[in-house]
Amino acid sequence: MNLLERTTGTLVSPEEPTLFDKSKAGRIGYSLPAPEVPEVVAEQVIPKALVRDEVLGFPEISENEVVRHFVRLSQKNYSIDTGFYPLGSCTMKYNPKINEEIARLPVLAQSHPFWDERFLQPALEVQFQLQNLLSAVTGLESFTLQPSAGAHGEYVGIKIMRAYHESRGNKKTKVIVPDSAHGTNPATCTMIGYDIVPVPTGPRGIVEIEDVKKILDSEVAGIMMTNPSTLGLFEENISQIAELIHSVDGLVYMDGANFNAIVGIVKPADLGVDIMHINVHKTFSTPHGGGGPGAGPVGVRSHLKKFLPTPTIERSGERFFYDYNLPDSIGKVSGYHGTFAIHVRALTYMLSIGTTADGKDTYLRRIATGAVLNANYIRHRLRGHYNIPYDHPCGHEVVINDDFQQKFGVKTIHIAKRLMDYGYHPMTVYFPLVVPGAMMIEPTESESKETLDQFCDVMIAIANEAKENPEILLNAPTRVNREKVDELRAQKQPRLSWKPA
Amino acid sequence: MKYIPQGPDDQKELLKAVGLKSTDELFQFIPAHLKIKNNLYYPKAQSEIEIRKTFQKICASSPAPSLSFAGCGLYQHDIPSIVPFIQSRSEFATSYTPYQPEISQGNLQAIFEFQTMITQLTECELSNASLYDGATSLAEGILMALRLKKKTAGKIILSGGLHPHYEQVVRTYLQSFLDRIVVAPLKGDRLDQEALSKLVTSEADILVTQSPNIFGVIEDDSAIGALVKTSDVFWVTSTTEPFVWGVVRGPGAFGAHIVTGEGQSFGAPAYLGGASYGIFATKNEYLRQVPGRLVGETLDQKGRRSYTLTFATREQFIRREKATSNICTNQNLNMLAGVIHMATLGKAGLKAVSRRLLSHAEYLKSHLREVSELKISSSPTFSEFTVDLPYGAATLVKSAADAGWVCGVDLGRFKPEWNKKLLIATSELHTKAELDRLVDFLRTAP
Repeated sequence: MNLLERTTGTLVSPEEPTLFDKSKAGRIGYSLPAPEVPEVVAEQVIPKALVRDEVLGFPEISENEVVRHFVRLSQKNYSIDTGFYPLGSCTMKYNPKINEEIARLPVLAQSHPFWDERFLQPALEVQFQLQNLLSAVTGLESFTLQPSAGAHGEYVGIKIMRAYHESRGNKKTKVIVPDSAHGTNPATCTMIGYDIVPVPTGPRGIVEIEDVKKILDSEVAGIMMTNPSTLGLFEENISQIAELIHSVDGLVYMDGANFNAIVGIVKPADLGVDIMHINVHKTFSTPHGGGGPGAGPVGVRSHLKKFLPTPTIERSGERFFYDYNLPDSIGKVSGYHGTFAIHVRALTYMLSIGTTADGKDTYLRRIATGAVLNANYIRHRLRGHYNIPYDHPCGHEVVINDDFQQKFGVKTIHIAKRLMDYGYHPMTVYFPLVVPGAMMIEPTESESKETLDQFCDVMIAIANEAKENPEILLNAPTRVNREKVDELRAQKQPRLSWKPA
Repeated sequence: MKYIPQGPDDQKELLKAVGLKSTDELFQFIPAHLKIKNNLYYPKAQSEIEIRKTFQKICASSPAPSLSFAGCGLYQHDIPSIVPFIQSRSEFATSYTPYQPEISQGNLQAIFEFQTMITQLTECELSNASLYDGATSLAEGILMALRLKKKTAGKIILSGGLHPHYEQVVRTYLQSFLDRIVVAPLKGDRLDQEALSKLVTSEADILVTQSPNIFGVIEDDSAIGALVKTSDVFWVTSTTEPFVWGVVRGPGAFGAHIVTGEGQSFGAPAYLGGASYGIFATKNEYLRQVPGRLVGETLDQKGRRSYTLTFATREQFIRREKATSNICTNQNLNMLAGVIHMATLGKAGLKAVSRRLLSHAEYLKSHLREVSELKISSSPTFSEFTVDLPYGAATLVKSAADAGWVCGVDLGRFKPEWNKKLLIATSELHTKAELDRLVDFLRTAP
């Protein structure tokens, strides 16, 4: 069997019409018990002008047909459980199933934030324990679990930065953001009213001290650094940069998107970090769910605790409680207490990866080690076949690009799409922006050497195809559910909801 | 480690291949003095057997209430068993954001169907793929209205009937605009139309309303819509209980510019407020200002109907500091539960559940009105309503908690002047016996 046949994915599934195409008047998918109290008609109690008789267009489908519909849809998705998902910066590691089982425990799932706190002790304890473990791995004393996602965590973190400066009467107008940063970093600063001062990536692929010095002045509120950076490289100067930032009373924000590379190896607080968010859906294995929900807890040093969103979770003796008495808080940032269903999963995972039975090591460290070793292995295997702009020992991900393939008319996008024909989800492409044609590959610790070898064999086969038969790549993918979806047409003729034909 | 397929031999081979002697060398770029030397004061790793015991112990630390009438933004509903069944399928749960449409059609089509059902419910032209939750959706809606109204600097009118948590989140997000916020007064438990009319016509930019409001009262969107049409005001609405749209018209029908809401009722238990998604709908003409993800229908190169993320040029990963929001999620798995729940209910089921909720609330109201010390206003409500007590609601809530159940939410937790107001939410899960228990409890209390 050739490599293509051996690796082709399984995403060829039957065509599935929409719920609305399948709908037929009078079919039902749900039933209620017979009424025990008199049935009220809306017109009796609600002004006529407001009442509606039915929701026009709502589907009418039987329960079993709904099941088949969504099972068929599911088969059109690639997922971690079906194959290797080397998306850089996304940390597509295994999502343990015990996390899901625990998250469905009724006591936790039914918890209502407005119940008397005596009924919420289990939920509060979960959140309290999670905060403590996050403090243990980051060295940051206090955490809030309220942010619903990484970007939401950034929002909270920079709000705290601003509140800190306002409380000290500092005149601050801008935040330093490396040019390799995720788009959420500058977008967050804008939302909070800070200007962005970009700092370039130096020749070694990291931020250099001299470049920070050049742009540092008293109006700098702080710096937002992703560490390791989106190039997969550890920011070796971070401690010295932190000192510089602190010298103008600025704060160091660490974007924890890439924490998986250093978890258990170094505590961000020891690097001079003041504020940090953690993407628990990356480092701590909660499912990505096709695009959320995530959770973006934010940790701070003790002097910033008073700015955390209300309420915080505290303990007094055996009792856990919410503390709403926070006069300096930045306020509430989500309706309730953050994505609790995700917190439960994250705690389950964190309890699974503690110290080893002999007490001499932690599984945390083995996670980072595994992830970094795997990424470096890929870097070695792809060398010579693909250009590696910063070919230094990397963290948990490696960035390559299409420089060697361009002379054959093949670009990053073609390589990515061709990977699908071989049964892989593509890597992250065209990011970070500082590398033209970037392909960012993050294997995580979850993958075996065999998986990495097969993936690298495929990448090398694609590099050869680019040389010998570039046409194949230009037309890819041809062996999956859809071929070249026309994204331009979607924008030129917007159809964002179903309309009857 | 059972989650890491790197055995000792694998590790040796990998290290040899990359030219290193030990795993320590992998981290040579971190200065030695900064590395963790001890085991970070971290607990022992637990096996699955131990994990289950740990959580059983945590869950047993306090009793769960035997019955609950708490709502106030998060509602208890019957979740059809197919919802968690499908939601936990690996292909949905362990996939990433569908940036590669060729191998993500399942998620994309589900989002497209969700967007469609939201437009139907809200009677709007356009829906996004969802935001974090109801409160942040409202805040994003106001921020979007501010972008569309950037040439003026008029007032932002917030209904006095807004859920206090929503108001707090809005104030956090609108920190730079706080001096423009005014609160529209209520007349009793509903917006004062006369006062509102004056506010709307006096250099206002944005009007924010919520229906049902914090007291459970359905606002007169028809009158508000008529008022908005006589002005240049941008109308942003919020709803915490989308089941209301099974019996009440969507705000889009009355001309709301932006309709936001909390999605939890469709698809998820309360989860401490942590399994939410935000509903966000608007008019087609504002498409380019919408925050969050959008899915559109298109064709693939073989002419087959396909779906893709679209209008990404609004988003942070393209536009960076000029994006419409920093948001980078659509709470997809929660939204998926919502779309499955809605599809299962269908037209008939939605109507049936909404009517049942209404009937349960009306049953309670009619019986509680017979108790002379209790006051219940005549304003229209849906599944939730407020009882004015002659004494503090906190005492009542505590006395029910002592007996192991939850009789409602003491609105005094938000504002001292509301301390005699008990907010009661009904559910299709409540039996007549349970409804009667609440009536008896209130009749004989304190």
